[in-house]
Amino acid sequence: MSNFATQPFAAPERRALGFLSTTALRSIVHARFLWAVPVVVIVIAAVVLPSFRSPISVNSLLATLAPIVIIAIGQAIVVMYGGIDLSVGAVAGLGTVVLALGPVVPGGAGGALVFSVIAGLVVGVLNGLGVLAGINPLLMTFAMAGVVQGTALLLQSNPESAAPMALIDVVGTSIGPVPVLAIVAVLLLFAAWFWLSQSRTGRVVQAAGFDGRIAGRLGFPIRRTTIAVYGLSGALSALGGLAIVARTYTADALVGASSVIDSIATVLVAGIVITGGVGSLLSILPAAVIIAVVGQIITLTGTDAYYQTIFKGVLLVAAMGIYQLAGRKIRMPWRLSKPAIDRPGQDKRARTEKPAVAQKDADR
Amino acid sequence: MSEQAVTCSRVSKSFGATRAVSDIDFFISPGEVLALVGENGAGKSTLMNMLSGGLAPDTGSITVAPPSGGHGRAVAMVHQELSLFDNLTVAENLELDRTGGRAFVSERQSREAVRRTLDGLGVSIDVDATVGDLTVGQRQLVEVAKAIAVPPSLLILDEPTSSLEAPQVELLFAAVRALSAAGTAVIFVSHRMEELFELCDRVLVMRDGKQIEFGDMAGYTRHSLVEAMVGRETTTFYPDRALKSLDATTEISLDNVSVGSALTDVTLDFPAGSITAIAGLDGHGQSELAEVLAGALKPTSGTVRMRGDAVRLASPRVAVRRGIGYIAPNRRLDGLLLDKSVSLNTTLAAAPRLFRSGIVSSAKERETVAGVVSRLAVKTSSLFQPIIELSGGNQQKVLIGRWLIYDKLQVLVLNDPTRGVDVGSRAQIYTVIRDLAERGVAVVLVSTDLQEILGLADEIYVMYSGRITGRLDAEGASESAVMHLATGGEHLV
Repeated sequence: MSNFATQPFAAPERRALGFLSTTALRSIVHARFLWAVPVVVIVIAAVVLPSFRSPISVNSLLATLAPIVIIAIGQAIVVMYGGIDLSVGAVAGLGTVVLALGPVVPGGAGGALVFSVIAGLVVGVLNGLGVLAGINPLLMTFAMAGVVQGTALLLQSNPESAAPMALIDVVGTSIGPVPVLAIVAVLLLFAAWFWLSQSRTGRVVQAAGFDGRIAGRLGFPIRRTTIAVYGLSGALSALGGLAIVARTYTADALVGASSVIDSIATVLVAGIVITGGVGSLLSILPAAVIIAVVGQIITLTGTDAYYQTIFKGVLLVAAMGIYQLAGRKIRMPWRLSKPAIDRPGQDKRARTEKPAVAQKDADR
Repeated sequence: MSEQAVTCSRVSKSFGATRAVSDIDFFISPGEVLALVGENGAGKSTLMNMLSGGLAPDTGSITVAPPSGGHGRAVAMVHQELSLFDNLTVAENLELDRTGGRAFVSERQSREAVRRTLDGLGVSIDVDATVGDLTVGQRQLVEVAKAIAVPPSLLILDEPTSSLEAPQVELLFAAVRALSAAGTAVIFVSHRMEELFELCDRVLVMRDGKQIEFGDMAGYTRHSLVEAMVGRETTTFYPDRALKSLDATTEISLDNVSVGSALTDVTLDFPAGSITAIAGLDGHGQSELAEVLAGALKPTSGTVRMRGDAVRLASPRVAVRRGIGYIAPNRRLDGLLLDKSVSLNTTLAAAPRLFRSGIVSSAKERETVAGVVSRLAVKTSSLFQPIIELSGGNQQKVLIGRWLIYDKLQVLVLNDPTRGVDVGSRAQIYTVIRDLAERGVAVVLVSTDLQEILGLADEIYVMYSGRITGRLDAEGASESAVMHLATGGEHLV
């Protein structure tokens, strides 16, 4: 009980948050240091760069953040399920292209928005079916990315399509300096986190992501869950594409080019373990903020934008290294056979209950 | 026979050309406890899988009465391989298993229900503990709790006691008795004979997929049951001891080795060519001692010497290079690549010496592995069968075989080598261990099974709370003498 990191919600505190799963709460506590990093980065940037503090800069920062968070939510759910989705960028591009078909689809701009998300959902479901058929998620979604990007480029050449400015103006509005889409992204994040930690399907995602073999043997609804997980990622990617258009005002099949590395970097920096089942979706927020703020700093200081890509790669590797060093905190599956952390003083393989030994002593 | 809880009539099952189960015919009345016994590979697992609905029989029929409450499962099974998710808490694991219910989990209700189940079982495990943090024994109890959360018509327990301590076994037995009093039929599989006699009403003996005997437990003695299982006399269970050579060189020794609070000032010599056993109650430092020898655990002070020279065993890899083999107690976690073939698992340690060019010669591999398989009578359909499909005893034989073909082996450290291994396989494993010792290998045997230590070892050291409390010659040593030392008693002399 002495170890705060592993037993943070002893009886009294537990009552307040008792409606939440212990694992979900523990995952947040495990990630507590991550939340400090963006705070530090923001404070430094705000002190050093006066332009960083301007409302326009804040607005643009949050507008950049929205698509990163939205797409990372889908990616995180897939990674928690032990998979990976490399098609998120292509699907985001497809989403924007479908959106631009507004003039030619029934329902106009509103209809195009719905079609855009449905297109993402369909691609995701196809990914899910491929994975169910036994294709490695890495390969399935990689191949799908090619198919989707090609299709989007073909659709884009349709001369009648144009970015629906009216719709973009609506979804791109801001309340003060805060874009509506940023609020939507955060709400989606909390909803997804709650769904993953409290719903039965979410629990199956965590369990099967950690050990699919046991999940299969216990007869969990693997088919349904796989399709739901990849479908969600597809739909969220398309929505993320919409959030990109709201910022850039261009519908383009290649708009999501950086989304794959952005989403994977965000998810892994957030401490969600690549092998599945371990981590907290809420940590996406600080991770995405780190990426977005550094991007903003690079833009504001007029540094070459290519440094941004380099930074993301370095950040990803550095984060993995730090988590590796702090191994006990993220608790990789292969470390779990190690000590019983709730009793720090006791030996790791002490299968003996101490009282039993004491009993034997007393008998003597 | 509709009043029976389970009726199995003329059930058969084949896999390819292998007849795994043939013509099994038995029944269990509500509240009865049936002992299902047989050597590894006798077809017990296949039969249990058919009973639990995981496999369909080729011929014959299985009828299980619906559960008394009208809800829950008819058959619940506790597998030998645990089916818990280490990343979730105890409560979350049990909640996952509950059928039906709403789309979202009510955390309070779930915790409350799980706490009641655990209380009913009489165990005090925190429902909010992450399963990965529990000991193997605690996990086993959680697994049992999961199976009986809603009383089934038939509960199948596949070696539930192999990782439990005596007090935990008592808890389990009390729970089984309570369930059977409430009308649940139980099938109990164990290799510990005394448990079978303590708990079971009836017994079904299987051998080579066939039903050998089915009758009241009371009609059997320990001896007659073992005989029915193996189909032969078992007088030569342990191999003969080697002639004692006084001038045996010391292969490896510990010099004032301590590890934290687990091991204190241990000084021991392990001579080549003999089996040295470390006895003691579980958790008194024997495991740490084995791991120090295997290079898996670094001593906080003291030196390890090989043939007199101080060595630093920085990792198991270094230890293996120096000729030290280790068999860990948990073969699934620490010993085997479960998805890989028998062949790969066998040649894992010896590969660098077998294939010096770095290229695996399949002919040589086949020859070597076939040698091990026939020597240890490993039951496997092919050398390329994934090892996870083998029974526990056969997996353990592969682990032993791995060191058998390592020509550089000088020290073999065995940590509980026959846990969950049946009688017939044990005899074969013991013979091979003795052969290795005669080849000049210093064998270190850590075990909590006193019979095994007394039967197999040449000399016995006893540990109590991290210290060596005494040395006994195996010839003439008695269980009570060892127990005396193992519980902290002074040396009797």
